[in-house]
Amino acid sequence: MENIYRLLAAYCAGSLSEEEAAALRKRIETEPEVHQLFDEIRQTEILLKEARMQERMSEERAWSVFQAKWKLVVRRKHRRIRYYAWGSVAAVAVILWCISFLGFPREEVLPIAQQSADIQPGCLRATLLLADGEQIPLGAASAAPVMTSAGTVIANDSLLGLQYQQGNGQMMNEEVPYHTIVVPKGGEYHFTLSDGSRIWLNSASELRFPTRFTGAIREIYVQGEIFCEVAEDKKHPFIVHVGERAIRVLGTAFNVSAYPDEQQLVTTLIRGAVEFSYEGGCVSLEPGDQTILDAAGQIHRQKVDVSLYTSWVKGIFEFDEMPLEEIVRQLARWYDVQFCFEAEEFRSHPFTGFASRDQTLEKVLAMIEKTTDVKFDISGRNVNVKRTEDGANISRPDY
Amino acid sequence: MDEKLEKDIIRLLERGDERGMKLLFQLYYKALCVYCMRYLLSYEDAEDIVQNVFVSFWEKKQGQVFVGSLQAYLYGAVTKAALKNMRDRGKRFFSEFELQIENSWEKIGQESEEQREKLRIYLWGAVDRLPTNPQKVLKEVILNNKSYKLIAEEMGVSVSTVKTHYARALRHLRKTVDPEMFRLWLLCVILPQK
Repeated sequence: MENIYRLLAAYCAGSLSEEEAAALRKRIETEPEVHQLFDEIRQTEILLKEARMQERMSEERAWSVFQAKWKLVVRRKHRRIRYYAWGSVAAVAVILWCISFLGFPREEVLPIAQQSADIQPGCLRATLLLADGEQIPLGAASAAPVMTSAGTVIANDSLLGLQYQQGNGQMMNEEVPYHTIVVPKGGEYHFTLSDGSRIWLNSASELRFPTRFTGAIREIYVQGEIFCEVAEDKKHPFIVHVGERAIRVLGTAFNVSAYPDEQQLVTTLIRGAVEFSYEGGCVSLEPGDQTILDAAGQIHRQKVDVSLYTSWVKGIFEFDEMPLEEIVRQLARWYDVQFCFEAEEFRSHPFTGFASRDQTLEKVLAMIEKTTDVKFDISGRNVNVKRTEDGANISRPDY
Repeated sequence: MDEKLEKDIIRLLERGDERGMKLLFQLYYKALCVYCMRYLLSYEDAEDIVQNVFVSFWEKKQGQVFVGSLQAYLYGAVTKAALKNMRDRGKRFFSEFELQIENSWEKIGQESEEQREKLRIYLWGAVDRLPTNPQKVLKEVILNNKSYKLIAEEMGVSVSTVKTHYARALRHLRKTVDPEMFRLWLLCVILPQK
C-alpha cells in the first residue's frame, strides 16, 4: 500500500519513469480500489491547485504581461499592412513619374517618391549557425521546426522563437554540439535555451551556446547586447562569457551590452544577483546596479533606472540625458544605417526621449530635431548630422 | 448567461477591434487558468498557456467571422495546449483516467464571490486540521510548488516519506471534506466570472 501511495505521489509530480507509469496504469486498470484511490487523490489535488491558482492570480498583472505578448503580434500585422501601403505609394509614385514626363511639373512628385523610401525599422530575424557550418535563416515568418543536418529537430514558435529542449538522452560523455545565433544590423531575435532560460538578442549581436547543458555549469558566449532571464538551477551555475570577462549569474534577469564600437562592457542587473569578474577582480551586483568596464580596464559601478537599459526588449528606445553620439549608435544598429557628424558639437549633446522602435527612422529623427537645432540629412543609408541653417548656438563650445 | 456578452465580443473581434480582446480576457482569463491547472504542474505554465491561446486566437480569428461558442473554443484550445505542454515536458499523464474525473463533474452553475470565499475558508480550514507533517508537505507542494526532494531535505526525512505523506494527506482530505463541498467548488471555480 505504501508503494502505491508513492507511485501516485510521483504521478502527481510528473516524475514517474516509463516503467513505473506502465506499472501504475496496469494497477489502475485491473484493481478497482487503486482506481478509486487514484480518483480521490487527483480530485483533491486538482481542487487544491485550482483554489491556489485562483488566489495567486492578479488580473491586472496578467493583463499587462499579455498585452506585451499580444502587441508583438499586432505590431507585426501592422508592419505587414504598412508595407502594402508603401507598396501602393511607390506604385503611385512611379505612375506620376511617368506622367511627369508628359508635362506635369516634377516637383510635385518628389515628396511622394521620398516618402516611399523611408527607412523601415528592424524586425525579428537572425541566422542560426550549426556546428558543421550549415546556416538556417530565422524570423517571425517561420514557425516550422528547424531540422539540423545532424537530424536534430528544434521546436520553433512564431512568437517565442526557437525552443531548445534538454531531451532525455543525457549521456554525460556525449559531445554536445554548439550552435550560434547571429543577429544582423536591423534585426533582433529571442529564443529559449535548453534549460528554459529566455534570451533576447539585440541588433548586431551574436550568441554561442550548447544545444543542451550537460556539465556542472551552464556557459554561453556573447558579443553585442543580450537580455537574459535565466532559469533558476542552483546546482548548475550560469556563466555568460564576454571576451575574456565572465558574468556569473546567481539569479534571474540582467542585460549585457558589449559592442566593440562602444568600447565598454555594461552589465545591468534587474532581478536576482550576478557577479562580474574581469582582469582586475570581481564585483557583485544587486538589483538596480550597473557596472561599466571601460576600455582602460577601469570598472565603475552605479545605481541606474534599469528600464533605460532594458526597454529595447519591449520594442522601445528610451534615452535619458544620453549623448547624441550614443543614441545614433543604437539607431545605426537598428535601422542599419551610418551616421556622420558634420556638426561635431552635437556628439555630446544630451537628449532625453522615448520612442517606439517600430517607427521609421525619419520619425525618430524628426523627434530629435524638434528639441534642438540639429538637422539630419538622409541620403541612401547614410545620415549626416548637421546644424539647422538658422540655428542658434545652443551647444557650440565657447572659443 | 453571458451569451449577450459573447455576442458583443464576437462582433468586436470580427471588426478587428482590440477592445473585444480586453473583454474576452476579463470574461475568461482567470477561469481558464484555474481550469487548466488540473492538467499542469506549475502555476506559471498555466498563465503562459492561456495567454498564448489568447494571442493565437487573436492572430487567427480577428477580422473574421466567428461561428459557435467562444467559451467552448477557448476551453478546447487550452485543454489541447495543456496536454501538449505535459507531453513536451516528458510527463506521464493518464488522460483516459483524468477525463473520467472531469466527466463526473460536468455540471455547470454559478456562485457568488462570497460563496466562493466561504468555500475557500472551509477548504484551507480542513487542510489546517491535518496532522503536522502531512500538512506541511501538502502546503509546500500546493502553495509553494516545491519538489518532494527539496521538501525532504528541508524536513530531514526521506523522499519516500514525503511522497507517502502527500498522497495520504490528499486522500484523508477527500474523506473528511464534505463531498457536497467538492461538487459546489467545482461549480464555482470552473466558470467564467462576471
